[in-house]
Amino acid sequence: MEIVFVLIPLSVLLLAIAVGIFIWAVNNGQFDDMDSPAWKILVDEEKRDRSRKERQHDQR
Amino acid sequence: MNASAQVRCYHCNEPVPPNEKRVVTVDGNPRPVCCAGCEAVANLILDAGLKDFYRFRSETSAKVDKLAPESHWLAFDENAVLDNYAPLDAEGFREIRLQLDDIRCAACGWLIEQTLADDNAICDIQLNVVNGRATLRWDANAVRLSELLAHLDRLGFHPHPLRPDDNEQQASHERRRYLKRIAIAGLGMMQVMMYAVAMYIGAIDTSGEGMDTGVWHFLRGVSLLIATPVVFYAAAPFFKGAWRDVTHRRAGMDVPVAIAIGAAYAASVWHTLLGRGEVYFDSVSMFVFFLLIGRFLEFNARHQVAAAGSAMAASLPATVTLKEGNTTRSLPLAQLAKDQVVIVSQGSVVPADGELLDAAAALDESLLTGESQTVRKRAGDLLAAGAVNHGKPLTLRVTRTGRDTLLSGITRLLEKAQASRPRMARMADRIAQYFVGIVLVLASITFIAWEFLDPARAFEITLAVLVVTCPCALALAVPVALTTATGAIAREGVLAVNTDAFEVLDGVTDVVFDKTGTLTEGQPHICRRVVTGVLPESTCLALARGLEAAANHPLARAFATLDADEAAFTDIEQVAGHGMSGMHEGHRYRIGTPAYALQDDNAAITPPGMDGSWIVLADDDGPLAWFALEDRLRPEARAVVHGLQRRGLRVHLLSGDSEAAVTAVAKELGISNVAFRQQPQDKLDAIRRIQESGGRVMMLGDGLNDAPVLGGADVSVAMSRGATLAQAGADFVLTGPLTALTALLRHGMKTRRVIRQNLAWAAGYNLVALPLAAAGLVAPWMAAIGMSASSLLVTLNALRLRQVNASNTPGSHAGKQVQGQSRVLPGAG
Repeated sequence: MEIVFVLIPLSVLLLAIAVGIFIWAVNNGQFDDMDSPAWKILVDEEKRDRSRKERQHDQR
Repeated sequence: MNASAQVRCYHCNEPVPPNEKRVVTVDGNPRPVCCAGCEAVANLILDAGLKDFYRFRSETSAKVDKLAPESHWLAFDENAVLDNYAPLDAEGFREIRLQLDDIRCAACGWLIEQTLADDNAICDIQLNVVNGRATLRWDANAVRLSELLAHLDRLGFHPHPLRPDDNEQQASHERRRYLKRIAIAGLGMMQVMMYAVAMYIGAIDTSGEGMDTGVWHFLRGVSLLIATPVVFYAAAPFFKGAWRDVTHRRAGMDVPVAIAIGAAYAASVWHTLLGRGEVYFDSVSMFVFFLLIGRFLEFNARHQVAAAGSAMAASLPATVTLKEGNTTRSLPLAQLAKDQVVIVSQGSVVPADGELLDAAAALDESLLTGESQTVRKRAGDLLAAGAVNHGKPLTLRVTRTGRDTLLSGITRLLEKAQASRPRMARMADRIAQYFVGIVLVLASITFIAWEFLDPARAFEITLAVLVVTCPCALALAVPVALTTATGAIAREGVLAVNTDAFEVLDGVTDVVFDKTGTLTEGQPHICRRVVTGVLPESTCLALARGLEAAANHPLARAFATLDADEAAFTDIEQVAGHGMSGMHEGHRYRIGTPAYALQDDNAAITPPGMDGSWIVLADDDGPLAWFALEDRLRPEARAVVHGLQRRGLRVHLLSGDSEAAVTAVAKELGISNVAFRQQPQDKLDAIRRIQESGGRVMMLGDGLNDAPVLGGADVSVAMSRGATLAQAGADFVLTGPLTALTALLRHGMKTRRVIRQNLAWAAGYNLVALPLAAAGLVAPWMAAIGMSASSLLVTLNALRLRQVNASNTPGSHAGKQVQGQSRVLPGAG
């Protein structure tokens, strides 16, 4: 049973990491608009960043 | 009358005028458009390779009437202005928030993001398609803001720059804090419960192998570690609320909650350190988690973005024309200061309260007063921000700007009304307050009684009493039901501005329609024309079209379809409610009501027919041509009226129009209670009469001169095309087709039923649970589960209101092809 002395602190650590990630996501505005992203998947488009770089490349 | 047979505009889906030849080419096929504005926007979209917009949009685009000149936005290029609206960040970028008009569906958002993404200077644009708010981040050195604003305007989405302050940002921060608290409480609850289960099992394990005491102490210690942030961070609002209540000497809902959380946590910590006795970390975490969920739902109910309100804030122009000596320049409204002189052109909105410097002016103050009558002002009179200049361009000296203006005051009042808790929720709060007082007294009595009976159990039982009787179900019962109902009707095309009105919806006995713009499409067209023969027909049509081109009355739009060129006029004057006059080649012409155009109060000259309303073009010698105007019925109007009558409601039609026009509509729709030539006061009296005879009135108006009448009705519904202030004054705003009205009534009935069920359940649960807990039959963890289950039941019951019953919407084939769906407000959840 001694293994719990390792596993439980480990799980608490994982919990702390999960909470940290969630707080980062909230502060980063990931949960501010819950409606618009649902619509975006209906539109097929190329990935924005890549296409912009390509465009910049093309112009040069 | 057959709307579907008509050619409709590819861009805005409005009927294309018969002589309009403009087309845009899509995939090699010509598609008709209705006007130059729509043609320009459609070409802009198609040239950018974004024709998918027309495939994905679920609502048609707004008709593009006129674009602001590019110079309109120039004021936003000055650094002083930019710093105010869009502070420079460390990386040399600026960020601005914009309120965009006419965002109707996801495709609009896609279109904006696609066209702006082509610009390398823009690093980010985020658009909320629900409330039309956009956040734009761009490189201030690479592109001017005025170009971006003009570009958005050209796309048909008129932008209103917003300054980075206000309550909305606070609400957004508050929302983020709630999310973080809920996450911490929820994850903490799961962990602590897991350990608790392990300990329960370990405690009852009689196989002799029981739980190792070292592990047992360890698990309690870890539970303490995890429950601590739950109590001190996630539950902080309850302690703050309780402290506020205590310092104000009142028994708020937070007081027993804070006592229960605090006492249970303190006792658990003490027992953990002692190494014996019960710990309640699991119950505490669960209690905090469910309480937070309830608070979050209620918070959402209060801070729902009412589209009507934000539209009103945007009703003032973004820039003003400042007069300095003999020169003029454009200035952002926010920079306007007292004692500056501004010029307001014809048809523009007065940007600030001020003193009139010209000899005379004619203004429409319908946004402020609801009266669409033109008001005459003399030099020195006070003009209010929000009024529309109907006469010649005027100059005014600014006396009050921004938040000090009359308009801003009214807006604040409305915002306050919107932000306040609904009446039924306040009532539940008051009941909860008494209830809390009783609970505190009973908990004390329980504690003292058990001190005598069994001191060892006194603490545990008192805790159970405090937790099990938490009045959260009572507090949740109303707000959750109202939020859910608000979301549900928004999907059907109705915005709830005043949620108190849900209560009244169920008892409505009379539905009153105001004909103009409610039962009709609000776009009159010319159905007959008679030329008297004094001038050739083509000249008459050119004169009529030219004169009406300068008018901003809805009737004037009908003349834009005439098959003739516009004649040029000078010295044009508009007399609101009567007509227009102007000079053309040395002659004065008038067009409008017979009494005005013929300068003939006795109506000696009568129109050539009795049907419809007649407009006459005349010179000083007499009539030249007659035009009969007719407004088409909305395709779904008949189904809606019949639907209402089937529900046993009396349908009335009160209209300011002439007898012939009103009775024709009433006959077609089967409405028997009709009144015509009604002034706002007459309409108000009619509503009072119905109310005195015991009826409850739902009034449907299009805003303009209905605002006071809407206020007099028990429930008021405004059409989204109406004046913005009247909309905000109404209880509901119809954004979809008329069929949403029957859906609204249906939802009103269901909402009231759910609220009653919820209140009954919450009260019943507490009455049963309290004696059980006081008798010592409920352990603290059972209390926490009982209280949570009760809250959950109330919430789930309210969520039933989400269902949109599609089978009950008659006439849904009519009007726009796709309705609802895109107007989804953030609902409860």
